[in-house]
Amino acid sequence: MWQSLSIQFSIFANNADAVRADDLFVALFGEDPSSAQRNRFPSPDNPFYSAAGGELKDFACQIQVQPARIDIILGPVAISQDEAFVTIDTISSYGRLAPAIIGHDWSGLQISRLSTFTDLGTIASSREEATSRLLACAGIGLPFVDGTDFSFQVNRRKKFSFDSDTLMNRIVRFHEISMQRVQFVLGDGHVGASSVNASTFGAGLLLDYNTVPSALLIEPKNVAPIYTELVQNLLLAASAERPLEILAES
Amino acid sequence: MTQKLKKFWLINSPSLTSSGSAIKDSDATPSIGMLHGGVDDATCVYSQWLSTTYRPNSPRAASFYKLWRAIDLMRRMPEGHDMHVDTKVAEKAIQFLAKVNSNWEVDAPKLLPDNEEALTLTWDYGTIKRFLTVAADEFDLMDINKRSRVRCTHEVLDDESNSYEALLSKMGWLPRTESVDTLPNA
Repeated sequence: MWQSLSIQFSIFANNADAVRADDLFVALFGEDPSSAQRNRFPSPDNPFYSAAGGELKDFACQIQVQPARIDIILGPVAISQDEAFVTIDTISSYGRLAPAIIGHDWSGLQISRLSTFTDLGTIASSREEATSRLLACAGIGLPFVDGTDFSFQVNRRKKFSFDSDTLMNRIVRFHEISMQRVQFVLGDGHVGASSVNASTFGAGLLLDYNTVPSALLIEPKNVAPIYTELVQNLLLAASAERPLEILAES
Repeated sequence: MTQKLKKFWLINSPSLTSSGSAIKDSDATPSIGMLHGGVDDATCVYSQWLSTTYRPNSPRAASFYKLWRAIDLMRRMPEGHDMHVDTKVAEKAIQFLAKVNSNWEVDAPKLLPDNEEALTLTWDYGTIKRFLTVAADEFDLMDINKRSRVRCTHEVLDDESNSYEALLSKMGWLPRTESVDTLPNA
């Protein structure tokens, strides 16, 4: 299946501001972040209480803490001029990040919701091919071949095995991607930009797996089993040629 | 002539709704939805940008945030001040709003100072105005028809283990499904 542009864990907690991003980075990965910032009063322009980032060998990681939400994001380390898409392997990325999240002690946080999501992508030679790949992946047929702007989203809830009262959302979204490479030239009084190539297209698949909101808080002891199941289910879909068939199985 | 060259890879997609990606970033700037990249030699910068519906500074999020800040300021007012609100009430309201913000499909309410022992959140739904009063040990919910002035009141005691559930069932909001674009964040 396609590779990930990034993977992300989001923890919705009423008292998220009790966490400092740089402290969490150290707790999760055992090393200091290469950059960190704190904000005494978050604003719309700079909405984070704190943010921290650093490289973890093959990955780059960002942690962002904002009101009622903590985001932990894993992406590619560097961008190559030869690649239009910079992706990371979905399974190895989750293998790097998920154990740290699942093994962390989240007690003290008033957690109302847990989420993990990833966006998978692949390059297509044309817009028609991108649409064709999306249709094949979704198992959907159209009575014409020159359609554009294809998007399709569906959610199928599922019970967690450890607690039948807790439900997960399994959102699968197929969508087109368009890309443009632009070259900026600076120097000797000349500043300009030009398109290096025409638009390039791709097919994208967003997998957003999260707990269905309820009025009850999630007990810290349940963070590990919830995230374990969310990740397992997401990876099943991410590995499948036809993710909707995975949703159909349960 | 030495010409400095910078190259950017721009990925632009109206329909792309990914989380963006965290890429090597020398400026310690949060990565989501921003143009950024890593410097790999003296003259070239390679970057990419991902379009995303993730909006850390969405108007809705900002509204919730301003509300939290206002309640926190009221909590810190000296006792006896007209705008002072009890700490327990303020914390309860802030926690409730954070939960609403993350989990339910509803805009931020307006804030109506009441007294030290309670504060009131209001929503406008056309001809109906909804008042939710948060006190230390209870929520009071009241709907008023703005034309007829007829009132409908509900009381939700907080000593029930399912009080939030009971309250939210009366509010009639839909739970949020996606988590990608739930943000002040919401």
